[in-house]
Amino acid sequence: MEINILEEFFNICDEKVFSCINCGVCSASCPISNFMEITPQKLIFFLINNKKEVLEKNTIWLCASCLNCQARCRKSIDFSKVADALRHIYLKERARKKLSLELEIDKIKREILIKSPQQLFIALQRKFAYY
Amino acid sequence: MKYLYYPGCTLKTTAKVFEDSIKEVSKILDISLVELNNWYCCQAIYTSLNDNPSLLLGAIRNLIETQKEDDKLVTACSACYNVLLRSQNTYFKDEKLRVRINAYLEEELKREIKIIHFFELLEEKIDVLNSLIKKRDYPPLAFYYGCLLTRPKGIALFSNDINPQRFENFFSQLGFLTIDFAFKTRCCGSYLTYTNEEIVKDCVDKIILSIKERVNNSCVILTTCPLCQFNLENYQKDYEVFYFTQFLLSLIKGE
Ligand code: SF4
Ligand code: SF4
Repeated sequence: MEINILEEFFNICDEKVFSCINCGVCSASCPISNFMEITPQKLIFFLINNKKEVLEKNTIWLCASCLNCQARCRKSIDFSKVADALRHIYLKERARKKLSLELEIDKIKREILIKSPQQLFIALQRKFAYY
Repeated sequence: MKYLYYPGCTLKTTAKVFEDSIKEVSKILDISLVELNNWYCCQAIYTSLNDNPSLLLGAIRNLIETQKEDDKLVTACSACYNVLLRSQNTYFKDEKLRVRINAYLEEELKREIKIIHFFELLEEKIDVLNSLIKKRDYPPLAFYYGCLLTRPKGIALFSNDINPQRFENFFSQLGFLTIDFAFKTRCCGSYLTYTNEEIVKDCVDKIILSIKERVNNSCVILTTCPLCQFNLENYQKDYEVFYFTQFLLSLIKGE
């Protein structure tokens, strides 16, 4: 079964991605965009063109939900919600195909696990959870 | 004055020093913080999927517990503050979702709870604080706000998300030198610390560079957020990083 990414997206997210004017302000203001395979603006462009590849880009995992882009976007689009929704679609897809998840807890450095705040770890778990 | 207080998980564990200092400072200032009954995790991060009411339950249940006793709730962790605020905002704005959330609840949230940051209580007590402080010869203070108290725009504690000034004003009134730096609200990298350390290093580097641009020698970084505190302390060695209440307490004690 091929999924229709736009349809899946609008099932769980209200962000008005079609009002995006492709100005790129989100990408320019994002503190993490230089690590992303495609920038937030490009990802939204791919998404509204119904390109399923958006699920394969590291962009959706690197977005730290800092809302810097949302505060700058003149269309008030909250990219963190877009990333949230796409992660969720990705995880559900994988679960449906019975593939394991990519987060390997063993790969996290022990010293960080021990010292880091609870809140941070729960946030990480939430990021890799689907419902 | 008596307030209901929501500590959150982190202040009970890895950020214990933060809670200890909050308790001590409130005792000194005659603010009585009463821990909320049956509180539990706020769910750590606000998640926005609109098809799943369970994502907001943690926060809303805490607010329901609050409404049994008061219409105000004090918290100090930036993450808890952000999650409680945004969850409540969604609850009252999104009627469809509210109906679905209520289906899980024994009791509805009847009215908006005023969510107060501990810093706001200190602002009211600034004169008393001023008279208590014993030590003022400190290097300049760089207040790192981070994301969670400054965004989303419109509902966040600080209305200016680029160059907020409330902490600077507060500490200048107490007689300290504060510095403005460009990246005081830029993300510290948050939970990427587990999966992409290089990114957090990069974020922290840039924050520190923007501080360095503005100070000659030393400075002290202050924060209200256990996440920021962890990342800033872990990925740079140039400056010390304290919770603002921890710092205030040391001033009162003259240490
Ligand atoms: S800032 Fe807003 S309008 Fe501009 S490209 Fe990004 S999402 Fe689109
Ligand atoms: S919310 Fe995500 S995409 Fe937007 S600025 Fe922050 S990290 Fe970048």
